[in-house]
Amino acid sequence: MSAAAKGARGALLLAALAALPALVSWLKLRDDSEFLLAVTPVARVRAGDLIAAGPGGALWLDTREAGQFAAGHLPGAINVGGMGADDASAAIAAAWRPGLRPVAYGDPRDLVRPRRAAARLTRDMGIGPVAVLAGDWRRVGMASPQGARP
Amino acid sequence: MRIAALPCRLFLGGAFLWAGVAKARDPVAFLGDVEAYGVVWGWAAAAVALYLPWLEIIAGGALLVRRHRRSGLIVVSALLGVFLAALVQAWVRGLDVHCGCFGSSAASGRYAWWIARDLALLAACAFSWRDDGTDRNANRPVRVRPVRSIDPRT
Repeated sequence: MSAAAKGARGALLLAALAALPALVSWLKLRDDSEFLLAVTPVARVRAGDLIAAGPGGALWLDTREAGQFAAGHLPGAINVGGMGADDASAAIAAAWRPGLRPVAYGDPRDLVRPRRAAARLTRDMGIGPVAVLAGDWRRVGMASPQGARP
Repeated sequence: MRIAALPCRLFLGGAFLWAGVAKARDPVAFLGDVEAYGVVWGWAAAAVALYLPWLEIIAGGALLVRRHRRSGLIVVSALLGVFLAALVQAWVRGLDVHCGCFGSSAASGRYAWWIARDLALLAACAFSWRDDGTDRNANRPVRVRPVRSIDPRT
């Protein structure tokens, strides 16, 4: 057997061997709340679908910092990323009405923060599954009649 | 050149051991880094975040052992190829990622440096593939069997 073939066989063995400690890590983490939050399925919705559904169909949850929110955001959005958990809960509860679809969005370059926020709000708020906006929120702002507002 | 292949391999092994241990210590933070690349989410990202650090540790360890060096080099080269592809697609998409290469880091978006580092490590892998002078048989003195003289005068 050539050196390369032996190496390839050994590489497969190494790959299989790594699964064992990975399994142990999973057993340790399976009850960790942050880990469970990360693996919670979160639906992604397109801006076009929400616009087609008509105005007022979405409860926008902005997950960015307060400074970024102040520089521009979607009409009616609640800045859940710029306030404490209790304040965010109170603001969402005040704005919530049946039929609204809660949708989280954030910096289009950051895919993790809106997703984590959506999973957390789904778990804690009891307003149904919170989706994440696919793509850039500014396109929604440009397409909506009111546009993004400071 | 042959002598330099050994420190090259040992450096690669040490680097992957270090990288694997740093990630394995905080798999939840590494999970966030994996998701930021926008390739896998949810359970798939969790599987990557739990498995990858251990694969790096085992491959890095194999690189330090002469007998398993080629197996380790194959795994490490494949990993570097995957890392390179992930970095390039994130750069093209304009994503704000933390490398996650050596555990949690505050630095983000340093794509040119990360890609250059990956390419240098890939070059080190190619360089380490050759015999580095640690093969037992290569250093063993050659035994010469005595032969009868063919000198016609004897």
